[in-house]
Amino acid sequence: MRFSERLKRDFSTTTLTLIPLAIVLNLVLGQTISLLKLPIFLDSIGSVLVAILSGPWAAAVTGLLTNLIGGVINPFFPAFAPVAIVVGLVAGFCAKVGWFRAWWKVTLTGLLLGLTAALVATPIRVLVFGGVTGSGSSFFIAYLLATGSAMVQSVFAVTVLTNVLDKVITALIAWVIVLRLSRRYISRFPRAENVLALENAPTNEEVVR
Amino acid sequence: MVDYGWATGIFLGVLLPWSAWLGVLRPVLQRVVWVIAPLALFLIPIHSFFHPGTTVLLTIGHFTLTQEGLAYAYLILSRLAVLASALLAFSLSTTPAELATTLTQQGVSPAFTYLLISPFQLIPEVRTKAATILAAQQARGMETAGNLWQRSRALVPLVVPLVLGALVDVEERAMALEARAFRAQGYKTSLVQIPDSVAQRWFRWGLFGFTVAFVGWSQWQFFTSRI
Amino acid sequence: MAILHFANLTYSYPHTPKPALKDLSLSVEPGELVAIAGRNGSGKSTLCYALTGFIPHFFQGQWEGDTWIAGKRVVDATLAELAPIAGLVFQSPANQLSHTKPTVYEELAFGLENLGIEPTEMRDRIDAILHALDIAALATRSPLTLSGGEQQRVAIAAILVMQPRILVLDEPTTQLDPQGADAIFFLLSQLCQQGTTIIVATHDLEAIARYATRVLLLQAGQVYRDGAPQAVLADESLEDCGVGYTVYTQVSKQAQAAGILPSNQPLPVTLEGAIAQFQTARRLPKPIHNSERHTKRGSGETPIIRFESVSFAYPHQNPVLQGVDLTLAPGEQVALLGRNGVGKTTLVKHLNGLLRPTEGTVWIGDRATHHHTTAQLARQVGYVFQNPNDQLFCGTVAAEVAFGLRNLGVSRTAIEKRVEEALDSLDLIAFAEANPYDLSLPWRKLIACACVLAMQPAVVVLDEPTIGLDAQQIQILSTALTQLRQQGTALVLISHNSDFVVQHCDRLLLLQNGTIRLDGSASHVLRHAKQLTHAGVRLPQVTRLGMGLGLEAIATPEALLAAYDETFRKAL
Repeated sequence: MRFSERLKRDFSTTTLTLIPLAIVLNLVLGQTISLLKLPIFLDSIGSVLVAILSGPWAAAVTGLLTNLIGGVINPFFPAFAPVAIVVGLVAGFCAKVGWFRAWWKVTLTGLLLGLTAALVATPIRVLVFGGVTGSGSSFFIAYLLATGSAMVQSVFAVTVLTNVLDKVITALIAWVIVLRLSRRYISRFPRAENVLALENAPTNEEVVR
Repeated sequence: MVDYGWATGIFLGVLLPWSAWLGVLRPVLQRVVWVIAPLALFLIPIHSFFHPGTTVLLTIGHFTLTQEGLAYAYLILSRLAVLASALLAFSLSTTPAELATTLTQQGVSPAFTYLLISPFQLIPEVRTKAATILAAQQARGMETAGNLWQRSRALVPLVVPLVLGALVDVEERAMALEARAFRAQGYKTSLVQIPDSVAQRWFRWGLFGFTVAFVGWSQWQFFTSRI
Repeated sequence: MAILHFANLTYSYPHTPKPALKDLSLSVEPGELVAIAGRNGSGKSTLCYALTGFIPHFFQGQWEGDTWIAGKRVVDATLAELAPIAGLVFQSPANQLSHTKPTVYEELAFGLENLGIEPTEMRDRIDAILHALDIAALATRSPLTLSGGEQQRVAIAAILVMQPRILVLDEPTTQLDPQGADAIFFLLSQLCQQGTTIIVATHDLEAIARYATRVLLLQAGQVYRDGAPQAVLADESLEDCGVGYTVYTQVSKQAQAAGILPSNQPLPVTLEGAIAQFQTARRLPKPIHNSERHTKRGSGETPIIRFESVSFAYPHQNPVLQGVDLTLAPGEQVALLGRNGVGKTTLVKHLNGLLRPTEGTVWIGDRATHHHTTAQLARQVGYVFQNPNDQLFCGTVAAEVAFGLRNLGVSRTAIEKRVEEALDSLDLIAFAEANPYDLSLPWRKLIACACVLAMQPAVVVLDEPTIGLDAQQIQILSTALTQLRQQGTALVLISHNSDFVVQHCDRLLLLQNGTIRLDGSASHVLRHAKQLTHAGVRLPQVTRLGMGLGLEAIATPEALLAAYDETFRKAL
């Protein structure tokens, strides 16, 4: 299939309605679960869902727009748009090669997402924000600097730590959710083959407990 | 070395007057302070002490505060002030609907406009839904406080219904768009016309040219200073 | 010539072995108002999608047959070509908004902009529609701030402004209150008179009987009956199709069986029809046994729920509840009546501490809600929310029902037993291992009920439990509620389905302006017919039939026949 045809199929009307909802989920879910006080933010779960259901390019658009629209809430959000785009792309390609088909593969996808996100976020954090983005992680960066680490390494270490757990859980939850959808429903999406090839869906007991 | 004055100059000389002209000076300033202050709290000490420099201003234990470090922290903060105030002035003075109309009039595809604008109206809907889900699960005996394990157990019951509910709506929303000829090919019109004068058009091109020239110039400065 | 012509349409959704429509042939003439009836899953929605070209153009799947919409062969046309000819309106008002327009006026322009209509003509058309649908007052408001009923009118206007020749509506009134629903059906009959062909899928038999010119009764993807409402809605096979009868037909049936009405007459399907038959009945009735229900309402018992001058206001807003006093005895069955937005949901959210009074105290047994979390109160009070999608998240129905029990710390073996009991009481045993999201929304509603029943609370709160359910599913719910009554569980019911309400509740409460205006037995409260109607309550069909015959405050078909019998004999 030619790339332009692929894009045309990926951006179906269903995808076009999915993306705004995914953007809103990216923006809202973090606040929803903030009362649980867990060290995760789930701010890319919508992008990962789009990546599974509609492919990397739609997911990249979801990431980009999430951070542009988030700029209305926090003006520094758009600076991290490259991270969101890369997360969408990587998740989309992982889905394409079948990495959303078993829980351990999904975990690997999550690890990969966390690493790539940190790789892209680090230069932005260092060059644009001087290595600091407020909040508790800045204390940790200060500590690493004080013990003699260089700025880039310190920021990367902290970013990896905060991202990996979040992205692994994000990927796992996104996968569980897609499994909950009926086959008829999944087939509405342009990349249905990413999940529908999955024959041995885990039983509920494995997923919930 | 990049001139430290540029960012400060643009912030004070262009962005603040522009915000004032748009009538959003107060909220812009408030929110710039709101986002910059916590960063400054970390940036200034971290860079004052850890940025490489020779002009020592102060020594505490085996940490030294340098002038170069302080200057670097200021550079970052002033740049961030430019970034924040420009974005805030734009977002506080433009409604999503105006943006949508303008984009459509400029020939941007309605599909892209839909992607960019509809999230703004969906956010309150999804927030309400999130609150309902929290209530519904608590009514089934789910606790949201306790130790890390107990709190983690509440994650899936909160997140899954919200996301699934959104996904289940996708099909009907897509059909509703199709029912209103959203994917019709050919000529599209716009009910609301936003006036656009020749002067405004020239001004936009001027700004674009200025930005390109400025970036080119600063890059050139950067590389020649290295040689 | 027929405006819709379907010949031998067979269609299956992707990944589903069973066809959703089977060898369906249909012809509709311009200006008809056709109602589609049938149980959930009989193919009503699928037929609506086929009638507007979404099948086969939007859904993939297997498709066979020959379909024509307004002289266009559907397979050869695109969806964008068909959209302006055959408009489709859905159940959920919010899902139909474009979410890109700040005002209703601009929302209505969305479709016209897509069609490339010039702004001057757009304004003419929008003005005309605003006037025709009587929504000019909404023009400058944001679509997001409208009530469900208003949003649904805007959704219909947004389709009509494209000037379609055919309007297809899939359960357009399901999520609306009675006033909203009446307004929509009245509007449809007017549109029909102006020449628009209308097809509407609905469970509202009373509206069908009143407004439709023709009814299609679907059964398993086929047209089972096709004819005038008077014939189809009185058809003997109606119940086999999971549709049920209007109360008018039911009462007349019972009356025929009891010999009160002559059995050689066709059964009436409307209020007027039933009144006419009862008034002209000349035969002397046999006395029939009047079975009064026994209430478990013990006056000496400690109340399970007690509101002590409860007031509630959301921060910085006008109070929703003002000085509400209310006691509920164990095992009592109560319904909350009133218009949407009057505070019914706010009131019941006080029952399990989801909301806490700004003044006054709510007692659940001997606990004040102030000092307990909702999760703790969940043992006493079970609350079934209106939308099951707001709580279902597990991979199987059984696990979903078990979730609440695990939260209560019930032992593993006991969980298994209680899950099975709960599933059994709602006829869901066959679905125990199914994925809830593979089932349709009405079934998910029953699953949500099972989740709460399994927790065996002392009080069950149901918020609009019958919405979207077909007659058979309502019957399942009814049976479960009767079981609860026998077990001595108290029930608090919010519902616009007032026939369902009087069937299950001995006591009715009317909520108005933040206070309880009427409180008493069903027959006591129904005496205030005018006040109820004024407060947005649609009286039960059986009550209206009684009133038509000059009998006051009738709450059940049995009471109606008994009272009719008595007055009839007195008259002799």
